[in-house]
Amino acid sequence: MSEENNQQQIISSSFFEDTERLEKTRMYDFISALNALLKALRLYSNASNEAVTVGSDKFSDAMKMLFLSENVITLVYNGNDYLINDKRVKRKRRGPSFDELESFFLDLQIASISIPRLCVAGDIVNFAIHGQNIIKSKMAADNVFPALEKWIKDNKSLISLTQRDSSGGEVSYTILEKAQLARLTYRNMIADQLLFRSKIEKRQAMPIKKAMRNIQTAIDMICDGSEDSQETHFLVLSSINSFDNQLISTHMTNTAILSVAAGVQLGIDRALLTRIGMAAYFHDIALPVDSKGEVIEHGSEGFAVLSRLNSLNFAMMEAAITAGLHHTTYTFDCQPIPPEKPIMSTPLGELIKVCDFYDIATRWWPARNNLPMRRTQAIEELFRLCMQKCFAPVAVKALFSALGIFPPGTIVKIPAIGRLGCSIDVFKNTGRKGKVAILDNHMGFEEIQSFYPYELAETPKNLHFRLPPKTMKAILDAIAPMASNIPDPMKKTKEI
Amino acid sequence: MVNTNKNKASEQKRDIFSFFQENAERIFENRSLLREVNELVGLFGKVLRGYRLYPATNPSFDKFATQFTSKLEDILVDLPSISLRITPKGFMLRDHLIESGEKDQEIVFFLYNDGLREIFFQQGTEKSEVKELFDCLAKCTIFASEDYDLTTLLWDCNFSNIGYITEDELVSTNVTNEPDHAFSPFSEDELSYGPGSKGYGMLENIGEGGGRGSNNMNSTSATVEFDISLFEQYSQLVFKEAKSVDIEQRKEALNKIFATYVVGKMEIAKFDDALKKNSDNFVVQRFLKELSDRLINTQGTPAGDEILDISASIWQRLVLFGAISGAILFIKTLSTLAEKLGGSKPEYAKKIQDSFKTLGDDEFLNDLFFLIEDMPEDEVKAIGELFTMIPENKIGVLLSKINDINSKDTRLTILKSLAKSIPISDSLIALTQNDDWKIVRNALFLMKEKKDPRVLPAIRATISHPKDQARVEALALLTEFSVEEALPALEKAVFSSARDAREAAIHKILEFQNSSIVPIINRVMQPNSLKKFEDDEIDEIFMLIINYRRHDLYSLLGHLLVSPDPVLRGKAMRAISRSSELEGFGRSIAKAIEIGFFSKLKSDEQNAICSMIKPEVFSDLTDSLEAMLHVSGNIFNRSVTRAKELIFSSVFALRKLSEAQRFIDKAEKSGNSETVKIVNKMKERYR
Repeated sequence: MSEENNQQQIISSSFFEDTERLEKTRMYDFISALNALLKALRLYSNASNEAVTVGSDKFSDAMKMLFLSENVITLVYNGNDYLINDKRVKRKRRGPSFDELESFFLDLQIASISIPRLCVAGDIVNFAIHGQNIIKSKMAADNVFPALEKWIKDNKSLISLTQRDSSGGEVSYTILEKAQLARLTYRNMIADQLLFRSKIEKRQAMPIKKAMRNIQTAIDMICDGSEDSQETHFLVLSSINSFDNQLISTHMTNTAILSVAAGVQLGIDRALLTRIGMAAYFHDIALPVDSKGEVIEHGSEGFAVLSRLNSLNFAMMEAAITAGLHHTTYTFDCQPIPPEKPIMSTPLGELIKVCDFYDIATRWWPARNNLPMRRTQAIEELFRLCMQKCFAPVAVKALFSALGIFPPGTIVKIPAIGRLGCSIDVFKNTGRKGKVAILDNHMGFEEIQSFYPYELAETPKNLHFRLPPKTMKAILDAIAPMASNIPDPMKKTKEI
Repeated sequence: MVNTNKNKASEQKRDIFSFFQENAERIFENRSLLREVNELVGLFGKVLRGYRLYPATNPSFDKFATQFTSKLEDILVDLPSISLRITPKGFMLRDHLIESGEKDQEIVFFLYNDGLREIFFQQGTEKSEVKELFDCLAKCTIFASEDYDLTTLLWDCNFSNIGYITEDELVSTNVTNEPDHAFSPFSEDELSYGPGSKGYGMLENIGEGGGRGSNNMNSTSATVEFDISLFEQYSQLVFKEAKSVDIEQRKEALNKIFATYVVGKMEIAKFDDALKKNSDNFVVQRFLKELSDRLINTQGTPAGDEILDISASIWQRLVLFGAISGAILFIKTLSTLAEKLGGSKPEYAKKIQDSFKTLGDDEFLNDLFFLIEDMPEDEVKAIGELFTMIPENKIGVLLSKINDINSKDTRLTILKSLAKSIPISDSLIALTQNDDWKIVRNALFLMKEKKDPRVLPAIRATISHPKDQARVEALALLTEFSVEEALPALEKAVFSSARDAREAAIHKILEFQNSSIVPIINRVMQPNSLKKFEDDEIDEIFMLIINYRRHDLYSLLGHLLVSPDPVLRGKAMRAISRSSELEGFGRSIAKAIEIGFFSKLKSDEQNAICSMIKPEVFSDLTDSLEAMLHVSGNIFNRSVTRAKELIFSSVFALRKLSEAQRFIDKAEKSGNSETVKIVNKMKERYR
């Protein structure tokens, strides 16, 4: 067989072998067989009964089929669906209801059952018989799961279980203050990037929901218009250079926040804000996580990764387009690539490009020896590059409107008091005072004061400061002080 | 107390949380409220279970929404809102478990696993909001959970009166040894610059004309790194050089900048326009363009292989996601791409072509039809084109599956959509001889608009189909091609011995908007013919004439008002009195009130006829009415007098009508003592 034919064969067979449909059918058969086995056991409670034997054989076949592609089967019931290894097993309308399995999970307080490849059907039968006995004995609720666990331990069973969260009614909860939620969201947005990358590496489904929820919380906070709106808090957070040493994740998170803030200025509706936030949040997903700013081509890989679209929606399509096209008019080190005629990716993509440029241009990249642009200078540069058709003017204006004349994080001169400070507000008209964190002579945080924008000035172009972490922390603490009614776990830990 | 301002529920959540924390005991002690809440929770469970059994279009969900809204109204009479905690144990009012059926646990568990911890409803929650909430539940229940997330769906709805709190927004109040730091202030470590980052500032060669930081990583500036101790020195330098600034001048300059560079209303409008022009469809097209460009340009690279994998299976995901139009777009693009790649990269082309084989897969079709009734209407309208991409030999399976769809509207939408795209083929024509008459019906439906020479012979052939219903369907269709040929056969079917065939034939004839059917119906409406039908069948025929608004047949039906057969007369009266347009029956009613006939009717028939004396038919009745002015009853037969009184009473009820008033005046001056006496009696009654 020629090499070409050989390759052809490989492509076709692997494709059909990996078809999700086949996998889902196997999963459905597994659930179905387990449900039937449980029913037989409930009715006859005897492993040697004929109905149980038939059920057991069928289950054994179904399990073997699943073990062709999986080493461990983790079965979860979430109240609506069964999930096998994080994949939902679709029910069939007018099909069996799997009541037996549902009761087994609910009555025994099980959240998940993990069955390793070494297990045989007999192990499951024994486990199920014991489970059914516990249910029949009407044991006190608190003893049910421990009894099941004990059996597993005593019998050295390879099956492992997790218990359904039972803390529900007993633990008292307090709702987070908005500022706390803002910090939590920012933290999550950066931390979750590692999870997404690991899923990409393992070629598993990306848990897009997590990202979407964070973006939606950020949107709520940026545009809720209330007195305690977290808009400026978020914009100050988006000036953080590298959170938890996650340089690229911080960049993507910041770009997402900036894109949403700029989108709000253009009156974009909530659904599209989610889309722009998501697209920005994933736009550099192909850059290595430990990248320090080296110039790496990442458009093609980014597009490919995001096109997998395990969660198929417009946000992910927009994200893929943006990932593939955002460097068509400027390089990763901010060199313009003026096009002969304007090329638009998508309207939202144009907005993300501007925010991406702003963040990479103002960032202190460890791998680059040059100075970053100051924030005001980056905005000027964006307007200049509009003339070269690198950016859409309306998108740059939107970013300027979101950030103001001294974008949050800008080191400003305050001539009236002869001090330097850090802008922590949006100065977008001369009639309103904005907040500035005053710096002491050691670049430490002193206090927050308010000034009109005309009372502030830029530092000389040849001076670039970045705030020490201690100062940044003090500023952030001052912007969002800890509310008195919610315990500060950090403090508590220290006390202990 | 919770702020009852009409803010969006999302903005109220903190207030509601505190309110329930403080008032839970008081609310929980209200037993009747608790009972209502129990029932509310029960409804929630019913809805979830319902979605597993029935399509989302099933009318019972609308009924559930009505019940749910009304239950909420009962609960929220004195309360501004009701908040249900979602815990693994069940729904709770703060710390009190709400007792509910075992089955209701599923919904709680489901909501809990999707991250919801509280759901609340404010006073004024509308049915439309409840229905939207149910729609979210339906999506999560029916479609793949990887694609839908309850929390994000609820967020999209942005309800005015329904709110929720997620796990992320809550913190346990007894945080102890292993606290969750996620919401706490950032630590210095988290904010540190990490390895590779030096110093806290940089300085270009000061005093050499300033300049700006280069944006070119290759043109490294001569920089001086400094530590914090140098900050004071440099910041003093900043102010040393500072010149005094005219504040007013500066203000003016800034105003000018803001006016020029802050985004204006016109620009917002233009951007909005651009977004509308580049709608979802544009995003799909743009995505496809990128996908196809990259598929061609990145062959041989890992990214290229990945894109190929995606391309080959993406349309299936789209179909099962309910995005039919998008899937069609993908299939078309991929087909074009496969053609392009056929010469240079045949293995890639084959892989794409192989992926289309799934279209004919029974399991794929099962999955597709499983979802069809839950799809948005626009997507169902597009599905015909997708069906034409399914291998021709599967058309019979398709038509059979269409019959299995519960909703008639959905069946029709699909057939109409398919009829637009499907070409006439031998396989389709062969289906007109299928044993299942419903498949024959569907096949004929798909053929009827086609101008293909093979259609008419196929229809003719179906007329001799062994199943009556199939024959009737064929005959009905034949009327559109050749009335002369079809009508005699259809008339024959009307008198067939099989009721199904008779019914179908009558339907088809009445649907046929052509006067050539009048003689057929005339023959059907003859008492001798009608007697051949079953009792309820006659009612059905009469009602069909009314429902189809066949004005040209009203006289045939109206004629039965004066039929000597009391059964047929009664049936005609019942049908006509249900008609919303009596105009067409004026003459028949006039005949029915002729005193000689009318006085002999039983009183319930007389009442039924009198109820038809309405303003819209009054002008038709004048002659019959005037004829009775000079007729009198006699001492031995009071029936004429009673009949006159009954009719006069109906006329007096319309006395505001000028024609009715004219008739009353004439009656008063008629000189007939009985008539005058009745008029006076009526005047007394209606004074």
